[in-house]
Amino acid sequence: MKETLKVLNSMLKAGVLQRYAIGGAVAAIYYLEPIDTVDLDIFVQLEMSGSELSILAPIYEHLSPLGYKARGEFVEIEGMPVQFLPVFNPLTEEAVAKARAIKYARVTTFIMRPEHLVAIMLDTGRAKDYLRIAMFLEQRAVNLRSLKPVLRRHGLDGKWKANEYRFKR
Amino acid sequence: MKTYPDISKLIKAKEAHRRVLAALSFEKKIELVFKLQERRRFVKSAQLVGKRRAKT
Repeated sequence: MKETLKVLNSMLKAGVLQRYAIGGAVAAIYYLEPIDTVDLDIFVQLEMSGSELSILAPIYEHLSPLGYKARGEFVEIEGMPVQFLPVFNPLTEEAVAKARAIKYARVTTFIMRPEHLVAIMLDTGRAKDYLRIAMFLEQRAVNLRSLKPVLRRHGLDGKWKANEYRFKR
Repeated sequence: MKTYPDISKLIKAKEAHRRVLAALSFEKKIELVFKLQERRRFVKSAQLVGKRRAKT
């Protein structure tokens, strides 16, 4: 993964990405115990904006000559399937903007904060998202004082209240 | 009335193990995920061999 992160950082330097942050299961692993996952979800803030997924084209155009080819929705970068996701609403935009800079094997990278991960999971609302929210709460990996304002800002407090019973044992 | 063993100690031990895993470094946790994937691939390939054998 170290080499994958180096490639992502080189994309920042080259201006292909404005910002990026690790989200999804790999970000959850940072705060929780290891959980099974196949891909690295990279949320990206791009210079261009638009409603079409074609805004991701510059990423693929940059990676393809380097030998990193797209396989379905993933691009295999240094042995790791990476899924690039453009920020798609104010919540994911904030999550990328406020991502935490961390070190992975001495490489700097950016990881979403737990309150944003939990809010995104609540918003997505699949069974596995609810399960992971329960893990965050159980392992005290998220601070409720930080989470509540995020939920309020993004209109998710109602959904939280409606589903809170699922997260508590 | 049928009685069952009390497994609360086992559950507590499991929870403690999960806490230990959660406290590992990010690098170590990612390494464990890769190992998990390898194991899964191994199990899947073994399942395929088993299916092929069952067919023949």
